[in-house]
Amino acid sequence: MAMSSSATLVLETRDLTVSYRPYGLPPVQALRKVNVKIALGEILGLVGESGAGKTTLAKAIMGVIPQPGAVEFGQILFNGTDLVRQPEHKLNQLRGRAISIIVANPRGELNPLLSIGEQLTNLARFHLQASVRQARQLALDMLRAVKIPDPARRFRAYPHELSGGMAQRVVIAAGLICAPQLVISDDATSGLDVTVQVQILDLLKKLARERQTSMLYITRDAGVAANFCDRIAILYKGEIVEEAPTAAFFAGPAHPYSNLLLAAFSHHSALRKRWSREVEPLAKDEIGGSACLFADRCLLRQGRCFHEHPQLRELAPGRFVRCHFPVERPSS
Amino acid sequence: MVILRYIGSRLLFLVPQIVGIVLVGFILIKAVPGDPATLMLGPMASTDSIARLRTDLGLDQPLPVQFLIYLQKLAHGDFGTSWQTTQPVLSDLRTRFPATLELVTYGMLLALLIGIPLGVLSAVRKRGAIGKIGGMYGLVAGALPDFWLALVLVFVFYSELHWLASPIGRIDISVIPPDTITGFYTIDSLLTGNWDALGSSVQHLLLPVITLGLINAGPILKMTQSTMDRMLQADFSQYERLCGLPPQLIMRHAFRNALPSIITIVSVLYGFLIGGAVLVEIVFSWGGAGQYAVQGVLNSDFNPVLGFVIFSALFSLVVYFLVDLAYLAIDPRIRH
Amino acid sequence: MKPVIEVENLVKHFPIAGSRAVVQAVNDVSFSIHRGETLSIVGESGSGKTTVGRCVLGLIKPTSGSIRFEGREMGHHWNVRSRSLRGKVQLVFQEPGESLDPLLPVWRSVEEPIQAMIHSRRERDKKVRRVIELVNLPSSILQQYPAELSAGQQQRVAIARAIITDPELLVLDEPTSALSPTARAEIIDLLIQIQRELSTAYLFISHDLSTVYHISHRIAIMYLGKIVEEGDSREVFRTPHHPYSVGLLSSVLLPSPNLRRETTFVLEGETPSPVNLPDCCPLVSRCPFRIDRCGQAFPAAEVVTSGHRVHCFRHAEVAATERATDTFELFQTIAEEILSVPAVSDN
Repeated sequence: MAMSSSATLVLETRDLTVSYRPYGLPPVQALRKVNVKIALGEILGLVGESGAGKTTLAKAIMGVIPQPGAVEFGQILFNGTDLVRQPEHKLNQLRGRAISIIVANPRGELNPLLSIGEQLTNLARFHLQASVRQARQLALDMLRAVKIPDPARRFRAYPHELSGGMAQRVVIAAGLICAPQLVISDDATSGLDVTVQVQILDLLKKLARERQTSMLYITRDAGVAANFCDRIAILYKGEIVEEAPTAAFFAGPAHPYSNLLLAAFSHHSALRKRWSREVEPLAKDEIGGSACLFADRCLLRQGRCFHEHPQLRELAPGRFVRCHFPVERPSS
Repeated sequence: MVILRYIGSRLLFLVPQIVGIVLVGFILIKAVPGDPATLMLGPMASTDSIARLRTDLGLDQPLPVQFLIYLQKLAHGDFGTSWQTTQPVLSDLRTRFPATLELVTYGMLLALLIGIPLGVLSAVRKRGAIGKIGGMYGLVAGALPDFWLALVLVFVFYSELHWLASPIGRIDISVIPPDTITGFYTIDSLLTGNWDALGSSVQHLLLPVITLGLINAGPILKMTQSTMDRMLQADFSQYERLCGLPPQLIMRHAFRNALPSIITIVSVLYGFLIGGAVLVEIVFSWGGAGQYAVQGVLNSDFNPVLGFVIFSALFSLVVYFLVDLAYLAIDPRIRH
Repeated sequence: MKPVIEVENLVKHFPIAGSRAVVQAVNDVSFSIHRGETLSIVGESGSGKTTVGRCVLGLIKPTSGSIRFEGREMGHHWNVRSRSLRGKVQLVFQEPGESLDPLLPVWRSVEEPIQAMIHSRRERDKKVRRVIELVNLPSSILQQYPAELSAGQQQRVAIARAIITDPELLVLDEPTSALSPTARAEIIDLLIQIQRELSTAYLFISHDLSTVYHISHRIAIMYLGKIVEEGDSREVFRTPHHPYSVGLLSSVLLPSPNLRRETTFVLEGETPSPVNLPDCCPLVSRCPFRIDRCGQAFPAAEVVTSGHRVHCFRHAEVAATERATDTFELFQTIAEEILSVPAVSDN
């Protein structure tokens, strides 16, 4: 499985480990041996609760992990080149051009003193070496593509004059204007009204498919992942605990945490109680430093889970899970 | 035409603002103990002559009446007379105010030249040597008294090294000051082609301007540094970085966003220095407006003080008004 | 039985400083809630739902309209600060971390509402312990500070504080939006449980349709200050009659692929700003069903079934073009099927 498709992998992280070492405090591992693969034109959904490390992964790929964090180990291969070993100016050439990121809170992210047209043309002129006229045309085309009404007039508008939904469309336009190969969406639609969110998501998916752009869709909402992604990966406490094609995943998740998530979204209290237990204080000798990170909450845990850290293994073609006792279902 | 309406409303407010300021100044001045009549006539004067002088000066009238009389005279351009200089206050201020203004303006320019680049560099290279030097500078400049630095400079560059001319006044005694057009010796001598005057006035400006410049660069540097830092940490700068835009562009944009705060502190400093440069004026015997006003306060000579208050208030109001226009120009959010 | 709270023709307009324009946040809203019942007000930004909650609590003075508590008119003289009304109406905020004073230990925060009402220290202590137990928190948490708690635990403390006065009505303004999915589910379960035990009426304000579905008996859908549809929540979710309701429900994304509600039309564009609204149906600029009548007057309430009312001239057509689906119910069934796997017994 690995060899033939690695040629068409746009992004691949290998055992990526990121730690934060705050001064005077014990180090924190934000990401632990994360392996993520995104093929050409594929949309991967990364689902996790807040604090799981999703934003750290986005920052790691963009090369902007804030101090006191750093990549401790592993590789981030973008079309075969390891980004971790690249100097800053090379990374800067990729940002916004080959890899772009769409962020949440768009009005806060846009420069308040520049018109949106100016901000879009800046990108085109710098990254694509476009002339002023070409850049302007590109910007207008992009504004049209993201369905901003009356793009010529909006070109001169300032960010504070736009609604949240409009500003998000502008940020998407900025993310796509240089025709990148990989677009990262970092929780980009949270905070928008639900009717607007669904419009934006539909738009993003359409544009990505049209331009064969790969997407890494980071979200807290499993519903978003279910409806817009080809594959899904679950992040728990800095580790990928499950990765699978979307349909197969939602037909029956393999990792106990994934099942818990699904139960939580269904608001079915009996089901939820089934899949979680209250965090009980465990005796010291029960927890090894190499225990499974979910063991303290896991319904299916057994002795092995406290002493042996599970590895990510392939259950079926394309289905990976990090668990000694993954949930088995009678195959239908 | 929102802008015209804005300018119009500001100008309209100017008059009541001035009247208010004069009122407060008037009350405060009269509250200071000291009787001008007694001071004018000296310790040997009799009570009768003092009383008569007070009546002549109108000092026996009730305060509100005195104020109204003052306002009336003011409306005709009569700022009264200073009993110390025996000149009309208006003509005194006509020479002294530009003297201070010239000194303070060049001082501010130097402060900007030092403070802003250093501030920007300190923010951009926070952890490097420049960052620490910037921090130190701000600290030291805030701690040093300006008159002390002035004396040190005089001592070093005049007494010891003899590099500069005698630091008395605005121009060498032997040189004739240029004809008055603006009141600025440097500009006037340039305009009239009076090279001797130009050379001499520049020489005399050197030390006091350096003093004011070095000291006032401190707060400008600190404000620039902290605001630049905040703008560089802001979401939009991070986003520009994520878009791969070059660092110079990001810095330029951050600076533009930092400008309003920097302009604010510059305007506040500028207005303050009109009176606040008095100690430096004294060290260099500058003959400026600050000195004039201080003498007035110490000797209960009311008219110079009030005259100075009016002039500097007007000046500050003009500066603040220009600053507000600058904000309008820079920040599109304010226009709405 | 008299309703706990009755709101009639509530209007709230906010003047905009420096101009004569007005933000028409709430435009003639009426509803009532009975004991032990949950009415959810659903809407997006600009709908006015938060303002309605604030008016009911007495935090904002309405521009016009009446709010009656157990039949008695609330207003200038008799409001939530009056002695006889104190504690009867309580509030749970959205951000648990911000609604609790970080400098007070948990027991102090929870005790606050009854400090002025009950003078015996022992009595208060008893009550505090009782509500902490009701919200399924251990008594050891009483000595801790909010910063030491997870968001879910903080929200439970906030709920404990809100119910300690035995309120008749609890107003909950987006109480679960800031929580993780698991914490969210737990809080909703807790609220349902408390309602069963104390028969408290809930005014639940939210934009999260999943939680609304599970906790509500009735829902009212608001758009630009007006209620466009209201009724039994299951029924409205299954067969919405208003174009906006359809648009809203079709934007729900459940964690199951291909479970998006099929609709035959889309609501384009965004909600306009609630300033200087014309006096007609607020959806007129975006509605694919609009006719001339819609721009002339706001449709009066039309009855779909008893208790289910909608404000739309063409509501019957709207309902006819849509397939009656309860996606939440469907998802429940799917989830049950998937998750009821016989698991290896625990250790």
